Amino acid sequence: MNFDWSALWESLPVLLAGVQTTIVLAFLAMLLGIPGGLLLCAGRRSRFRVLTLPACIVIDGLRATPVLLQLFWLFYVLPLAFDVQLSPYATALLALALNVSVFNAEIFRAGINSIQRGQSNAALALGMSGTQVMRTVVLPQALRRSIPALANIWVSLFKNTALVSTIAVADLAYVALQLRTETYKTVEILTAMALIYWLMGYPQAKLADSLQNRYQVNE
Amino acid sequence: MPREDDVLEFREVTKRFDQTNVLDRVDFRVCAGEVVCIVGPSGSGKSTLLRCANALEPIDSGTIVFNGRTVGRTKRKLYKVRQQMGMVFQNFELFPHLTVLQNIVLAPRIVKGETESVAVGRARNLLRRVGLDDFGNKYPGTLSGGQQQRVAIARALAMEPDIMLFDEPTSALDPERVGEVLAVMRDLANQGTTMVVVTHEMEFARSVADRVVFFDRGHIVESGTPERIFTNPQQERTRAFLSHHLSNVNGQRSFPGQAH
Ligand SMILES: Nc1ncnc2c1ncn2[C@@H]1O[C@H](COP(=O)(O)OP(=O)(O)O)[C@@H](O)[C@H]1O
Ligand SMILES: [Mg+2]
Repeated sequence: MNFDWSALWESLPVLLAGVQTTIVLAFLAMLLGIPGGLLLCAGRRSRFRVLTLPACIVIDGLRATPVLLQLFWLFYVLPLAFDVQLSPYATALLALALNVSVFNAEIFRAGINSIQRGQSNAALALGMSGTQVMRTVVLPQALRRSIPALANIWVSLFKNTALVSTIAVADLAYVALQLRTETYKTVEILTAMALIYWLMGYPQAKLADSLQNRYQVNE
Repeated sequence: MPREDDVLEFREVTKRFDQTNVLDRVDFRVCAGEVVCIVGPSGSGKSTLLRCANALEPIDSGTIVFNGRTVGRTKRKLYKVRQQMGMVFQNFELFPHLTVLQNIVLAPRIVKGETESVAVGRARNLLRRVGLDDFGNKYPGTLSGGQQQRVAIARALAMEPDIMLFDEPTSALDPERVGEVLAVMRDLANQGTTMVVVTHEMEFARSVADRVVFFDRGHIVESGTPERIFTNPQQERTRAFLSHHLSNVNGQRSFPGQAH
């Protein structure tokens, strides 16, 4: 069989545009997912049921369903049920951001719970309010402890972005699969696609590992 | 009868955990400048007594009066009360993400709204006072237990409290580190600080306390001068408890000293 690798050169600009979309989408989703996670976490930990209930519904609902379904639901059901029509890109971003928010929320919750009660007691004993204790004592430590887990979420978020190709958002997966149907160079395109994802994903995975070691909690 | 110079007073205070009275109608009073040492078996409610005093634990009945005012239940008032009581914990409970200096200035800065320079100035004085002048920029994790506990004392003092509560401040320390912490506390007592100290350090209680309280099963069994409690306890339970710790009192143990 003959492979025509030179055709890839011609497609490179298209592929790189896809790469850019993938990176920007993942980045924005994480950027929204961190405050989103904090918000859901705060809701879940709240004393007020009006806040706990919706937070729990969102968290438990999204954690137990596939991202692909969430994406399709926002894309197809939202317009029909609520007459809200978002662009494919906005839908993709919303779905990914919501999904990471939920996982981030659970990471933050674990981080907060891992800070021993004694420290909160000590801070309260100094006359601080609950909010001050959270802001100056608990959260700074909890967030630091969350870094390795957040890095892992990032790694899987980055790969999950490929799902947005199913609603025609022109990310790397979408443009690559388009090229494949246009050129019939299945082997070349899929190999290139794999290589590009790996080149981007591998350093991230390695970085996540090293963060794991660096921020390892020793008590 | 309440006296003018009472700093802290418990009136018939009851605290329950799971139906058991951990504090059972406790009457207890500390006046200005007094050093009270509380001794008693573990699980008898000593920590709970201190934690109720600054409202880390809510009480079930009775009244706590601090500086002439009933300690209310609204949050704002509780914060106010806690600002004026210093507390030192068995496990130090320093904030590990902050330097020693930051640990000390945190509450004065954000609770009292002090300026950086005022707070840092006082913190440096306090560090000198506890013998840790050069430790301001270190992180708690790099300090020995004794050093951490001295920082914790400085941190509590930085709020300029009217009373200092110590909950077994030396129990988590290596024996050779106990003396340095007790020395700081002795120094505080000599300078007229009002102190309540839960401790198993009988020699410290004997030589520093104005009054020793023997606490057992949620009750004050007996209270009096160290002389009276250690040499002539009236109650059988006090005698039984002290007989275990007697060696500590009668000097077999040199201060600063070894574990018991
Ligand atoms: N938060 C809590 N929940 C339930 N029981 C508690 C709690 N804190 C303390 N207790 C119980 O109250 C009793 C007194 O505890 P504590 O005040 O810590 O005693 P001490 O300091 O004298 O050792 C113990 O039996 C303990 O198990
Ligand atoms: Mg205790």
